[in-house]
Amino acid sequence: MPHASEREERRAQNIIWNAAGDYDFTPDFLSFTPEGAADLYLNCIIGAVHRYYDYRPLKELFARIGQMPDAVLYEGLLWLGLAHSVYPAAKEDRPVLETLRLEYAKDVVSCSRPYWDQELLERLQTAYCARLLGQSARLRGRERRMMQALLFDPALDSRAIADRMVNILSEFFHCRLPGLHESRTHLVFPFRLVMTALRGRPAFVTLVRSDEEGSGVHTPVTLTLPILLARSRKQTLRSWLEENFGMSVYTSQEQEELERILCTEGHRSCHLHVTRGEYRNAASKAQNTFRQTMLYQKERNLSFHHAHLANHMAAISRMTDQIRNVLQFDDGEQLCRARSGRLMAAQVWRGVRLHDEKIFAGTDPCEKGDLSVDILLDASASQIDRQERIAAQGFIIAESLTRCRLPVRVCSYCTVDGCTILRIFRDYENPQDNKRIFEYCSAGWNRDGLAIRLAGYRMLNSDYENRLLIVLSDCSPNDDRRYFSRKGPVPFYYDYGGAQGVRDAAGEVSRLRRRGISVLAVCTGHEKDLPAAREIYGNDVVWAGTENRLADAAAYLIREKLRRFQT
Amino acid sequence: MLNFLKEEGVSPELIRELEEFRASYDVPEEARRRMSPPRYFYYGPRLWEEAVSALLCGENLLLTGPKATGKNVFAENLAAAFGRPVWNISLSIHADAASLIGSDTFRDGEVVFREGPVSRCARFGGFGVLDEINMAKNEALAVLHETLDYRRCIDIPGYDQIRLHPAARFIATMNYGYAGTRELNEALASRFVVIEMPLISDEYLQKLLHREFPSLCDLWNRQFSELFQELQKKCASAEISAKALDLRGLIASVRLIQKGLPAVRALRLGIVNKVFDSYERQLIDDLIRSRIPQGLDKTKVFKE
Repeated sequence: MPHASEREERRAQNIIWNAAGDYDFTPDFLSFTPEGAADLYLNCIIGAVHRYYDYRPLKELFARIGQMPDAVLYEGLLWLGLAHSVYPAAKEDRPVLETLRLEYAKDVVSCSRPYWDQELLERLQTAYCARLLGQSARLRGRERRMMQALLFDPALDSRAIADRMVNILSEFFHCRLPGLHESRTHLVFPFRLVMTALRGRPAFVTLVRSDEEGSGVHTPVTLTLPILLARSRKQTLRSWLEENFGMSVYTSQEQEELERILCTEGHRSCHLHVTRGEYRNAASKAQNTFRQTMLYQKERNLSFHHAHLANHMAAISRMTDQIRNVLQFDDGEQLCRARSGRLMAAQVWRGVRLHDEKIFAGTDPCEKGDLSVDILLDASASQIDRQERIAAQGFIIAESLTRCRLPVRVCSYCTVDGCTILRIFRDYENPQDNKRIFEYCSAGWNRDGLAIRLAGYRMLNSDYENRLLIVLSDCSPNDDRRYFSRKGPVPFYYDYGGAQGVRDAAGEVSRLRRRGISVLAVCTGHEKDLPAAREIYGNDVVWAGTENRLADAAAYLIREKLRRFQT
Repeated sequence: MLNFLKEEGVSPELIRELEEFRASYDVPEEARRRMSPPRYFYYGPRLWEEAVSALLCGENLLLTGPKATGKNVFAENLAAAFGRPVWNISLSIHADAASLIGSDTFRDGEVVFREGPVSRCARFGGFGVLDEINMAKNEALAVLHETLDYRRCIDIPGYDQIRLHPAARFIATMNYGYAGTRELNEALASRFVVIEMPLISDEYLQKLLHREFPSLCDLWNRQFSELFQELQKKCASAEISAKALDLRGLIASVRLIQKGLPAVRALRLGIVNKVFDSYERQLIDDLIRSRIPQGLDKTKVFKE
């Protein structure tokens, strides 16, 4: 769900679209109450202006006014006039506007300040609202004339209104309206985000953010994603990992045992770190650490999600329905004794002798076994330019499964300095934590084989009967720590990447499948990555082009898997 | 019912043929109680003509379409127009061949066959409405194949074959979007002619509300109908899910207003509260408040 202001913004847009009867434009103006809630009346008026007027001349006028220093005042005056002129037509369609307008007028009048404290726009608004309520309000001669000029005749079209407004600006404010394409005279604060990253190298993140007080001033910040430049001792590595990625869920002994079991064969020189993203000193604000980058990325992920909220919610809804369909279709049936059905010859005597009518075989639906789903997000630096999208895709899948009441665990993985880090966002028993998936942030390499082995190991230790692993990855395993192999007594080291990386990942997937875990993948990379994806995951892979496509494709794969569990 | 069709502007030729059909087939006494005038009328002469033509030709109908398009109302209307008794067969994933055709049972010390709704409908020449046909498993529906194609019979293992009464027809309804639905098997789909049901138009909804609530003021009839159109538009633009797009809910709300509940509260009960997502609920609430004033009640909504 969007946080208050974005949620209210979306609400305001919805009111406008609804009043305009058109959902194909982005409103230039939204109206909010002083408390920050979407204002029903004024947003209806904004929508009505779109509906009853040709908006192009007005849009052009607003654009020209927007370049003037007192734009807010002039825009307010124009909206005052438009609200007056559009009202009769809008009320014809929506009689409720009469009530809403009176409520609005009451609010304005009751909250108005004394005349001498008011700015021009406030004076005119108060006087206009007082007039609607049949009251009188103080206005000086010039203001009264201005008000008279602003109350546009409802019969005027938008071009005539625009001309009248130009005259008002010239007559009362002696100002010349700038041309549509003249350069701006006031300062515009840039808002952009530039990210540059190289695999396994420091990523210099330059972003421009608004300050915490929300005054709209943007302060540039430069962050550096740290990596370990030299081989560390285990202790140094561990403390660095805890500082940047969060505390391990395992104790030192458990950690060593885990590495002993899993970091074998080609991964023998690797380490593991499993974390929930919790820090020893949660309050401390470490500067220039990966932790801070993660916080900024979280904001980016959430903004992307809010900007595409409708699409994402529709995808979740569709995916939920499709998965729920399969869960509801339980093909397994149990035969039981019933009063009607197929006659059981051996039981007929009971009917005759015991008057027991249950001599037929009926069917009784039987329950499916426990099922858990693990979602594994590739969080390597190769995903850096699509982090928001991957977080959203992970969220869509997890939320859809959650709505079907399936236990879901969502983790991301990356490899930094030979250590494969598994970051747990939400666990089976925390359905309320899906939003934590937006904490997803990419860094380092991806040693897919080891990550899949680790995820599989943790799944096999759970109590669930049926297990499904969904991997969202670009299916291009890559690590700077080499892969160890042996031909007879001779040791060989290969680069972990390309065909070797794919072969290793494919081997791990196949090993998990043999142990009863169903594995399927969503390829988040480019279409060219699909052959490698197929090599690793076989036919159980879909390519996530858009969120809508992802929903359909992933739902299809999940459905097929679930059906197999049920048969 | 035929007068209604005349009013709606359905082709007189089809109405004449309908009258002939009704005159040709009597309704057995034991099935008469299954005939009742429809609760709501379905508006739309084009669809009426398509459906009546198909049924007169002996075809079975499959009505597909999203929620709130009046599939069941139309099926019920068609049975009434043809003057046939109706068997409503609600299908679910647990429906099996026995629940449709019938099964053995034990009566008076004997194993006898107990007819299912499809068998009875076939024998009495009724209209069987297979509601939400895509909820059922295709294996269960396979028993209907011979019933629905040119063979027009039901072969019951161990018993006789039931030949379909010449007036018997089957009308299936389905909605792809509902939870629990699945693709219809091709073999089964080929035994129907398919009518895609359109969303109810503003004009027809106003007619429907007027017929259902004759004392409803024109002004508020228009507002309720516009409200429903706006809900449709909001669903189509994917701002909200289809949960609130509930024609039954709108009619129930108007009924609650007639009973004395303030309009906004009645609409919350009938429409808004069907959505469980708070953000979506807020959007629908805004939509209602931008049409319906807070203090509106039955004294203003209904004429004396």
